Amino acid sequence: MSDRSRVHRAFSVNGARALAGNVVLTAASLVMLLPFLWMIMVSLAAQGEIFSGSLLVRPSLDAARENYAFALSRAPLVRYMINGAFVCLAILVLQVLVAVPAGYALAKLPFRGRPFLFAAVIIGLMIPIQIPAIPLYIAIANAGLTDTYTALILPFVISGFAIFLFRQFFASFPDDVIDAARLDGFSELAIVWRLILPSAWPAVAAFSIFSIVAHWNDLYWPLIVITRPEMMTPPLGLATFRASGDSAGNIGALMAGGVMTTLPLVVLFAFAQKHFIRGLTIPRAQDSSKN
Amino acid sequence: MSTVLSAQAGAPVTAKPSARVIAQRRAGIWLAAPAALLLFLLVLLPSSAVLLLSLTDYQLGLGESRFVGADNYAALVSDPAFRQSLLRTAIYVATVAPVSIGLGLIFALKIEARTTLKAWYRTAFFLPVTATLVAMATAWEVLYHPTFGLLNTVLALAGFQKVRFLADPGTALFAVAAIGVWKQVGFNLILFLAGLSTIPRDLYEAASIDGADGGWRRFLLVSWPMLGPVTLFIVVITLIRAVSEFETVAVLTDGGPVGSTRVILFMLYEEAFRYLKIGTGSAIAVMFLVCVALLTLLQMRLAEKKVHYV
Amino acid sequence: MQPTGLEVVSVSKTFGAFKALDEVSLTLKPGELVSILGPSGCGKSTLLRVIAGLEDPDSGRIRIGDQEMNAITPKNRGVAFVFQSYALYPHLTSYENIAAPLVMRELSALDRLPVVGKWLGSARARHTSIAARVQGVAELLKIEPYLGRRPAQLSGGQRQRIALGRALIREPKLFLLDEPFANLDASLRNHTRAELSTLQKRLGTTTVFVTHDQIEAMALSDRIAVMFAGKIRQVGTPDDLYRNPADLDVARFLSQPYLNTLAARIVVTGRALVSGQHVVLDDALEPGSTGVIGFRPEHCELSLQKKAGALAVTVERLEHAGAEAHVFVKLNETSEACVVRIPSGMMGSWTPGSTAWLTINSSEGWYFPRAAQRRADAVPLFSASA
Repeated sequence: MSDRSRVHRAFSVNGARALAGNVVLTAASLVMLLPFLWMIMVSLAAQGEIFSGSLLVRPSLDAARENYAFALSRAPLVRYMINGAFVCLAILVLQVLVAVPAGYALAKLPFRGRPFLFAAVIIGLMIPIQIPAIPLYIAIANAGLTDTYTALILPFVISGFAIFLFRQFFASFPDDVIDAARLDGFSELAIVWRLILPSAWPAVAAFSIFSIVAHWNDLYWPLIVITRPEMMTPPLGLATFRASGDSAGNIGALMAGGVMTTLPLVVLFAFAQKHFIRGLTIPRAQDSSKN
Repeated sequence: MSTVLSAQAGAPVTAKPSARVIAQRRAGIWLAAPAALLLFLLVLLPSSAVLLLSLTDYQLGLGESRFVGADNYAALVSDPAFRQSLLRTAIYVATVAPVSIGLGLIFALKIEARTTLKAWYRTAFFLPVTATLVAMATAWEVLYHPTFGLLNTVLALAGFQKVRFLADPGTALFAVAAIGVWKQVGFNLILFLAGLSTIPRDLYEAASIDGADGGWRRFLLVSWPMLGPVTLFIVVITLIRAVSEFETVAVLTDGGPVGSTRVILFMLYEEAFRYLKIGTGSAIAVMFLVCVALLTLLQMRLAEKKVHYV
Repeated sequence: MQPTGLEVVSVSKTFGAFKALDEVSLTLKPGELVSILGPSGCGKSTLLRVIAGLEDPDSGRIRIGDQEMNAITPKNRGVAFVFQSYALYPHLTSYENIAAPLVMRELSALDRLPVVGKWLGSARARHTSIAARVQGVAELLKIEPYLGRRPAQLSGGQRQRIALGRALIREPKLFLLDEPFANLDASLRNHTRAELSTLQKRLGTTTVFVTHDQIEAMALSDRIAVMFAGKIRQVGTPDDLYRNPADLDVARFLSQPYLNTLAARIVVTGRALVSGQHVVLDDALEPGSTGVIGFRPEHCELSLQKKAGALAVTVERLEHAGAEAHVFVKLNETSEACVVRIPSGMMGSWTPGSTAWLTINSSEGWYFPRAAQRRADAVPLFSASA
């Protein structure tokens, strides 16, 4: 009897501690989510409601329709998002196309100059975009390429980080399987695209998330090379919309723009949480300063 | 009968690269060539050019430029605006790094001890890492708003005076830093969780037999020493991200008020792309590079050694 | 297909300072199955990889049939390789794994395109022919139920069969098998071994089989080549090797788990002194030579009574091994250890600590002169007497 009551007491002490922990964590996670919640609420509320300074703003359907319509009409948000999607996709595809063969060569093929290339990759890893940005901008401006997709994409088609990541991944790919492929008549190129790449999809997935998040959210480089609204990516478009007189008095519309800009990645995140966490926490260096 | 075969006659073929080796070498060069070329053209060449540009007085739009040696650097070092920028960056880093690392660790320990709701907490904390900072900065701006922002409403309800968070030179940098912390905590938390998950269960069991059966003592005896390597890694990566702060400032404060949020990257951007003083901008870029490259090298050494990931 | 022979001529290969292959020569007759047997690190896998063209020899030549192979790339040598790890393509199904050699050889890049390829006239016929051949191999190996699965969904034994299927489908001139059973459990290993043997006889494909397991080599091979430290020490039929090992290493390797060795010295021509007893050799070696005599636990006897020519021993311990048992004894004179095999029913006769008499069955032992321990032929013992 006394044993049981002791057990019971131990349980309730632990229970109380667990409850306290959950309260603290729940409060903290609500703080983390607050900006998201507030952004959504404000985007659904009428102007007067927002300015009332009350603790809760009441959403209304009419206000929501008005805010989103205003955001979509004054800032070409759809265009921004299409630009962003296209630029991210193009960057990702080119990065993978360039980095996968190089990663394979660095990991598995003996060729002259391999140590130099590897050294160059490591140096590339350490250089954030802000460094080559100045000469690249001068070159792009001289070539008349500002305000083009080329300008948005070009500096990022090479990623030292991607090469390094793929090299590390491929290095642990069993040599036996590559030898078997050679005996079976695969060319080296066929080994890269038909054997290594399909087997490397966790690395490709992780890198894709990393790359898409970095470039969808990037402001620095678009800010430098883009001035025409129809070429802007979502962050630049939103920043421009915010700074323009159009949004000054219309917080609801600005928040509506924010919601639409943030939504694609948040939805993706909801569906592929594990991949997101893995992709964004792989050791990073290049690009680390960009989002 | 058993036999041992002796070497038969026949000219020994001396070693030279076989068809296979030659084919592999050639394939290696072809596969690596695009990457090598692009790496050179888009990273190495322009980065070296920055070094050269930092030694000139080149200004975009003005054709002529001349070699000025280390003048740009000397001018920057004696420029109060640059010193102010360094100081502001230092304050920003010194705020964001300890707070985001400390909170990340505390919450990671709390989440690790849970059995329920783990996934939910992880999601909530990690969401800011994913979100578009420009959009979220504008959301923060609304929260910070001097008249109707939620924070000021709460302050007013609690009987405090309203604060002009982003418009007051005394608070602006910290308001920006709070956003930096908000963005970084989840990242650090996930890395701490990954580090905690690699600590073997039986170490905790051994610790509890040794009398450290929970809370603070267990943390000091087991968790903290085992988290050493991952913590070092997190410190370095947080430093890199904090010195690279640009977007919140660019969107919300434009370096102001009165330069109080003019962190180093923002100054670099202004000098090079707003005032088109390429020489000065390049000099800042070179100094920034040295700082980030050193931290990156350190980070790679740490990553190579003992850090495990999710 | 006409079976093809294989000729390896003085092949050497070094990795840095390590000599993996030292003037290795070996000839296989068409249709023969030869095992390369040796401890790990002896160079046997390297030899196989050199034959396949996956490593280049520093010197020496490889001929398959009447064709010189040194300048020919691995894929054109007509060899099939089964790796110890099986080396299956992890992202392909069993069917695709087996078909891979044909797909890569017989279809052009255009034909290989996922959907389009199948509808390009002649390619369609080739796709059909590949499917038929995979089906044939699958029936032969009884792997049809697994054709749709990926390697990760297969057991070790199933993977091994898929690897075998991938090798078979090309109808190679030469099978190269690198410890293909090493990753299977014991019962599966015996079963698969029997199947492989049957299959190889039926197909008549010349086969080189690398293993470190003497029982496997004895069971499967037409001939065995025993390798130590990059050199082939002896080549012969399993029976040859078992009865006439060329040197002490070979004898030891083919006498598992135990080979007894006792120090010996030639005192009179044709007689060796072992632990104070004279042993007669069937060869007239000059006095003064020292060496060891070697014999297997089953080739000696233990008795309670003193016998002529028997060595006095003390019983140390006994080990039960099923039908048989091993008695571990120590020679009283020299403290050398010996193992004697007895029927396990007789274990009760021996108590640790008691004295017994060991008689060596002279027709089944060998004398290995010390100077020649590593190279020259062993000298069979003739008889042992007091």
